[in-house]
Amino acid sequence: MGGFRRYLLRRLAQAGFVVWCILTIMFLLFKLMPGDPTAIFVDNNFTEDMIQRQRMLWGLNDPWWVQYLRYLRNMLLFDFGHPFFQNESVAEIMLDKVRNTCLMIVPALLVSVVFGTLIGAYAGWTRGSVFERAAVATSLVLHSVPSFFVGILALMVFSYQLRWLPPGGMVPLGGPDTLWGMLASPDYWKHLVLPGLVLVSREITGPILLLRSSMLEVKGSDFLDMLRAKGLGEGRIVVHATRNALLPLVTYVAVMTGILFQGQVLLEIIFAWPGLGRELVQALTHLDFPVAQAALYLMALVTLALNLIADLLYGAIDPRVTYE
Amino acid sequence: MLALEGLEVRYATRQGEARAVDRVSLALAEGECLGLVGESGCGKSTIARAVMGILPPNGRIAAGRIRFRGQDLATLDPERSRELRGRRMALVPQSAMNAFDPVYTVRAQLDEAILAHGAMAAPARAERIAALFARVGLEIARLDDYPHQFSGGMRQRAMIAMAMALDPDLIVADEPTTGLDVVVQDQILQHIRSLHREQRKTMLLITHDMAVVAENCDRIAVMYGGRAVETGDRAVFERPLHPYTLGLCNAFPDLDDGGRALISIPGAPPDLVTPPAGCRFAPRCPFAENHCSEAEPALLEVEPGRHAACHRLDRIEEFRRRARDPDTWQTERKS
Repeated sequence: MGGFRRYLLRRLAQAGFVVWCILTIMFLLFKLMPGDPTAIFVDNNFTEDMIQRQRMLWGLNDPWWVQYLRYLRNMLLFDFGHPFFQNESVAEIMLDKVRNTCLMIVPALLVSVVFGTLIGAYAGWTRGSVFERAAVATSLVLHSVPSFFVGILALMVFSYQLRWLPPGGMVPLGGPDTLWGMLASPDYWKHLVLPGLVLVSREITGPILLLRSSMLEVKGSDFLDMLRAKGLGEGRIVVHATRNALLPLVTYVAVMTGILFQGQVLLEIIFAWPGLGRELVQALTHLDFPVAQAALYLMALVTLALNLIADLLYGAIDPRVTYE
Repeated sequence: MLALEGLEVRYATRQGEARAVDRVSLALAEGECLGLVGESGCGKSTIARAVMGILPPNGRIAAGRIRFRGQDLATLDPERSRELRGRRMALVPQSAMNAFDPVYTVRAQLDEAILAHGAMAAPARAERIAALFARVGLEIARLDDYPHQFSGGMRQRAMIAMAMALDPDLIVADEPTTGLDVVVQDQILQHIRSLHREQRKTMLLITHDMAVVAENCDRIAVMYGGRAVETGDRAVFERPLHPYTLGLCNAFPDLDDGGRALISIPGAPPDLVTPPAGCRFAPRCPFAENHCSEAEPALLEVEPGRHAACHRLDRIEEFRRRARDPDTWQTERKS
């Protein structure tokens, strides 16, 4: 296990380096952005004196390296400061938004991975069947249709025409605002159906196609013949094959989760879901620097963390992986 | 105990149906060891798969019967056939390297082989598995390893242990020493031999190594292009009756006559989708006559217990003499 510890330390050091790179690039980006933050924050009626005081307060008159080091420290401590246009701290807002985004993507992710795996594994096992061909064709179509198109279509049909489901939002105003409160609220689930299904319709195609091809590869393995020769039933053999075909899915799911986490800008806007993506777009259009910075930083951290977890998990599920 | 009667196995291929095994009849008595020899693609492994009931999806038994203890395996209901596999007959596979599922421990896979044929309490299973492992000379501590932690020889031993898990009557060993180094090959063969000699298992041993067959088998069948061309006891290699067997013997080193140069048979095995007319070996046979490409020779009893399928059995003494001469095999047959 000494090998594993060394590996873990090395991976953590690498991750730390990547975080530093991201932070530095972000710092440069926001420095290069046209306009002065004070220009957005201040009113036309501010006197030059007041503007200078504000600049002082934000440390914008300090040398760049002082600003850079202060920025690094704040980011590492998750101290994102205060937004220009809201009262809560950025950290509090981020916590809310991250939770809301998770409330949309986690259920969709679970459904996509579980059902996508089953469908894909079965399709691969029954290669050449009607089921397999239908699964592949449907997946390719769903994968290619842009999600905003499916989203708007779903809204038109189920909300505006049939009036079965609410057109947007997460819970009505004054509804529950804690995680457990939301999960227990039928309102949340009703609001989740449309964006959730739109998300599943695209995300499920990845596991289907991946498992199918992975299964085809496993199907050629000698060990399946041996399982047959020792008298196992078809069901047990499929379990063995699927267990082997699952290996590449781990990395895929980690990457997919990262992309989902940062990629829900369109869906969150279409369905007025108060998540991280929507917040980022709003912050950028209003040039709300602290919020935009925090949102970008969190997205990067989540992606990094998921990749690390995937690598570690890979060693846990495939006994052939060693850390030497 | 096991009898193939006019067995015909076909594989669907893009070029058409390949007759991998063509009208082969063989019988194996209780406690006997039958060796199947021949080049790659001669149908010997297909016979193993057909007997075990694990033909690939594109393969089918087109004709004939496989009688095993009074049942016809060719037409047996899949569930009945599954019940026989592993319990009444077991396979020692061709490539032990890949015959274990890489993501389960060796113990789990042995356990599964036992559980596939009825419940047994966990302690009893553990005890049985430990005994099996000890019998093939593996350390019991290694049971919880994964297959990739085993060497090739250890894996093949574990395979033999797995084959013996439920004490089957028939062992089908399909090239059990392929891919192992010579010393390990010998150890594995000793284990296989002891299954046959000490535990009186009936055995179908498939290999292209004639020395292995000569050493271990009571009876021998030589296959060529999906057909059995010669059968008999050890004398098959001492006094071959078929020109193909003569060629095979030339191609293998002889311990008693180390100085003898090896002679290979020129040409390639026949196309099984459209096999040559007449004797399948005729296009490569240095002694072939026109008649050989026209009519197919039947497998006839030449001496008691000795069968061969050749039109010119009458000239076999001359063939044996001429087969020793490398030039005989060099001359391309003009046809």
